[in-house]
Order: sequence, then C-alpha cells, then structure tokens
Amino acid sequence: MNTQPLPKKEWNLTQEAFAKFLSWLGRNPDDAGKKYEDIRRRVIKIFVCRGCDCPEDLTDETINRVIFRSQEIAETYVGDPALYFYGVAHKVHLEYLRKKPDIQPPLPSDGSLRSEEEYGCLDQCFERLLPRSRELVLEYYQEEKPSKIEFRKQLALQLGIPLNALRIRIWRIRTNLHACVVQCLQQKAMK
Amino acid sequence: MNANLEHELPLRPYLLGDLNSDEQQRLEQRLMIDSAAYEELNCVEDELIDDYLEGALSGNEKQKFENYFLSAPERRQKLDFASALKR
Repeated sequence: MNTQPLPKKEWNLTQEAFAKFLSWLGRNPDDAGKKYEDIRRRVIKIFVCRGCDCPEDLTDETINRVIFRSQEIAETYVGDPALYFYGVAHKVHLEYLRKKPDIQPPLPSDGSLRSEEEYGCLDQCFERLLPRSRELVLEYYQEEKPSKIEFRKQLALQLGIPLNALRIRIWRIRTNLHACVVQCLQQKAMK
Repeated sequence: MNANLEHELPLRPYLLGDLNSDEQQRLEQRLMIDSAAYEELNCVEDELIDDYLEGALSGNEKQKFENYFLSAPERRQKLDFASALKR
C-alpha cells in the first residue's frame, strides 16, 4: 500500500476529486457522508486507544492521504473502504511514533481542584436530561462492586432489555452528558 | 446484538496496552467494520474508568491504566468527568 505523505504542492483537492472520494464510500451523498463520519470517528478512537495526544490531527492526515489515493483506487478497490483507512492510519501512527518525544502522561488529579463551575455545569446538564434518562443513570450507578454487576442485570431485566443494550444506553447518556458539560464550560470561559 | 462480545473480544487488554502488535491490529480491523464491537469498546472504556475510580483494578492494571490508558488527553477528560459524576 502506497501511503507516502501527500505531495501538497502537486495536488489540490478539487470538488470533482472529493466527489469521487465520496462515491467510493457510498452510492449516494447521504450514505457516503454517514460512512465518512463513521469512519472518521473510528479512526480517531483507534488513535486515542494507541495513546496519541493529537488523535484528530492524525485522523485528518489519514483522511487527506486516503482522499488522494482514492482517485486511483476507487474504481478497482474491493472490500470495505474502512479497512483501507485503517491501513493508512496504521502507517500514519508509525510515523508519529518516530517523531514523538517520550513524555509520561501527567498523573490523574484527585479531583480536589475541580471547580465549582464544573460541578455547576454537571448539575445543569444533568437536569436537562430527560427524566427517564436521569433516573436510569442514577439507578445504574447507585451500586458499586461487588454487587453492581448483579444489580445491573436485574435492572436490565426490569427494563425488559438485554444487559448489553442497557450498557450501550448508559454509554450514550453519559457521552451526551459529558459533551454538554464541555460545552457549558466553554461558554462560561467565553464570558 | 452479540451479548458475548464482552467476553469474545480482548477489549480490556487492548485498552491497557496488553495486546501484541498482531492481536492489536486484528482487533482494530474488527473495530473499523463491526459496529457492535465498536459500541462494546465504548462501554468497556467507561467501565474501566469506573473500575479505576472504585479502586477495583489490580496493581498491574492500575499502573497500565495510569501510564498507557491515560496517555490521550481525551481519556483524562473522561476520567475527570467520571469522577465528578460519581460524587
């Protein structure tokens, strides 16, 4: 797989080239757009899981290279394009490792310096959840080990859903809550 | 939805940097194309954070959590958030 850095001076992304790239991802622009967002999210996640401190930048580099290569391969490529993105991401990561200084991550804070603003945003965002979601989160987290697994199985039974579905539901609520808190803090910082 | 993914896929070892290169790449390729596996990874990630906050990780796991899992700034933010949520 040729994944050399994009020769930026020699190639400019045109509308036609981007359209060709999208048509490789999906039969219509909507499907292609969703596929693109989905792939982008997963590539970012992989860079995060590999411990990269700039996962979005690395993902952008990956996507730029794939768009360039897609001009050649789109018509003959067989299989899920997501795997091609993965191959390029892997190479981008190896290049990143060669350049990256070896810095230990900071130790996690003990939370004692957490601001009142952060708690305020959390409370605010929590109140904005739908009542059912709010109750579900409170119930889900009320038990700690060792009984929490059994408790959550019972909760899933009560709701009439598999435990996995409950875990995913909780993950979605928690993720939205986190995004709300981040946005709230950014808005406060701007004032 | 495959309820056994939690046990089938080595997601915790992956998140703690415990897989060899081949294992890691095999798992990541699956994560790129299998939505159920990707969702499972997200759940396990949050649960690992919760286990750390509850002091439920072994000494070895805790060290890997702090030295590897928390390398990415996004993860440190998630930890902060989870800690606030638990109060």
